[in-house]
Amino acid sequence: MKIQFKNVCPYVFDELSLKSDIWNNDFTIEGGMRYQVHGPSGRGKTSFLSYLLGYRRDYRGEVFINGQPIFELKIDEWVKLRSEKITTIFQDLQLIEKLSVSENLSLIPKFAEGYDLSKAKKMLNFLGMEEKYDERVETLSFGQKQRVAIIRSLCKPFELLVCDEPFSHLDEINKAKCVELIENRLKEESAGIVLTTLDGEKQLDLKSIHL
Amino acid sequence: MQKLFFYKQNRFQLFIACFGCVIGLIMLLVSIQLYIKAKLYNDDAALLDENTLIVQKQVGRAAHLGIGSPNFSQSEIAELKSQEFITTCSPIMSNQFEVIVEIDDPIIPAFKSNIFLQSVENEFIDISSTQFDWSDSSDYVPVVMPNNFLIMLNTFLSASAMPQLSESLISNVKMNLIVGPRSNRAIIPARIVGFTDTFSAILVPSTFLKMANLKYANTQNQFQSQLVVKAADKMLGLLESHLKDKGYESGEGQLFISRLKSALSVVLVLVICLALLTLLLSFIIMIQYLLSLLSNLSFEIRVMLRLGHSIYVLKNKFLRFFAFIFTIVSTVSIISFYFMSSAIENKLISSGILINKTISVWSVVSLFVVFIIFILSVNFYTTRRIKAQFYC
Repeated sequence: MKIQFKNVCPYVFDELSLKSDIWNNDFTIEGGMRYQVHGPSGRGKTSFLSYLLGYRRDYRGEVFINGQPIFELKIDEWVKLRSEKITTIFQDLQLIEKLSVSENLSLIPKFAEGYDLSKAKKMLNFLGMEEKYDERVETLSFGQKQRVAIIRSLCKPFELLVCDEPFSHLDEINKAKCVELIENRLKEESAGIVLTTLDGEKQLDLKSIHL
Repeated sequence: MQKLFFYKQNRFQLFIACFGCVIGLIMLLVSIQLYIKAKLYNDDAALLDENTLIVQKQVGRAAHLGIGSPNFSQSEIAELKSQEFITTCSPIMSNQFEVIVEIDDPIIPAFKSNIFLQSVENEFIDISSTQFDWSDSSDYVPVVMPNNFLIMLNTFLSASAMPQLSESLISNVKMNLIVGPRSNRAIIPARIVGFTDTFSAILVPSTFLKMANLKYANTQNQFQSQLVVKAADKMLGLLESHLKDKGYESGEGQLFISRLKSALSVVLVLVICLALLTLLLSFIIMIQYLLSLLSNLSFEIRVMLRLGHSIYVLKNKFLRFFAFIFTIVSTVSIISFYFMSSAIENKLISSGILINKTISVWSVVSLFVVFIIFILSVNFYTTRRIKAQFYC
């Protein structure tokens, strides 16, 4: 999978004449490669991921996925990308609070069609969350929720893992475990990763991209 | 996924919408059923057919003194035709020579009676124009018999201790029309091809009557003392007051039936409108319920789309739920409708209005149409709302 940003700049940065590795520049995410996008708060890390995932279109410039302009992608193509090629750990986690951990994990399309949850259960065990399997997400701490969100994104096939500040509420031990889990899954799937963090954070073995 | 989408719903609002739908559907089905039954009631004298009246001038003292013609002039006919509440106005042609009907069949005792012949345009008679046609080469004159004539004949047969005749049997009886004065009399075979409640004279094709008036009365002047007039739909009242203003009259019985037809038609159409209004209101509540459900679930829908679920799969969850709800609503409605219409029909039958007790296919069709409209609406609104969440 190859994703290209060509002279992309959010409308809100128009007046700043901003130039970085991504904004108002050419930037390419190659298949299987690892990137860490970092920069101070407010420099558009979440916007960058939203453009990449096709959630927002408030920018000028062009984004291509496998050579095809992103605006030309049909809904069915997006569904295929989101369900089979790209997986995401959202900054706001995007968990359904009223549902249990297992029900949230079952929302992944493969699971929703009756896919085996055993892989997800193993990951829960690995991150010390096995007892929370049937608990409602609203009863968990933010750190625990973050681990559920990480597991949900990893228990499906993918070519690119997109993470938006995934470890922000984890202690060092849990962060290390999560990093190990992600490393293992990246190897299993031969997948790439794009990870955004605040300045100063260093995880995994990543190519540094500055915003 | 079922749990995810329906844990936020307001069941009270759904119940109110379903209740309204059931009431509206029952009213719609019953009113359509009654409307169709009324339309088909007694085929010839359909209750809701256009209102046909036989109009003549009022007979006053002046007529006895020979002042004022009982005939309608061309200008008077044209004036009637120009009225917006009259769809058709046509003169009735009458015989101007002596006519005797003679039944010449071994199954009936000899019967002779002086009669009147009349002729009207074919559109007023519910018989195909090929059946009711006459030319010089025809073997017989087709006639349309007033039902009253059959009653009179059967009274005569009863008095003669003979079995009575049905409509189909009398159609095969041999009969003759004896026409003209003694000096120029002819016997012409005739055959009954239909019956009428609207006209009280025997009807024959106009081609025959024109020929006979010319040949046996030696006149081309047609007396037009009666007109047959059709009132436009729901405008019988205007026609009545116009006839009164002009000094014309119509049979009271005929007018009463016409008034009854108009009133029944208006009432049934009003009930159908009321049913549609009730259905529309409950439909709006149901769609509002769907929209508020979709609004409350916008976060959940967005999460599902971001995780890679297709719009089609999500939409189908809602569609199946509402199809299930509406199937229950339809089932309750059709069962209630069946019992209600049975009760109404039993009441009508016991009151002497003989109607057949079958479910009108149009009621079932209307239910099907409402179901399709509902499903299409749910499909449209759901797809639109889910699609709006796809790119955000």
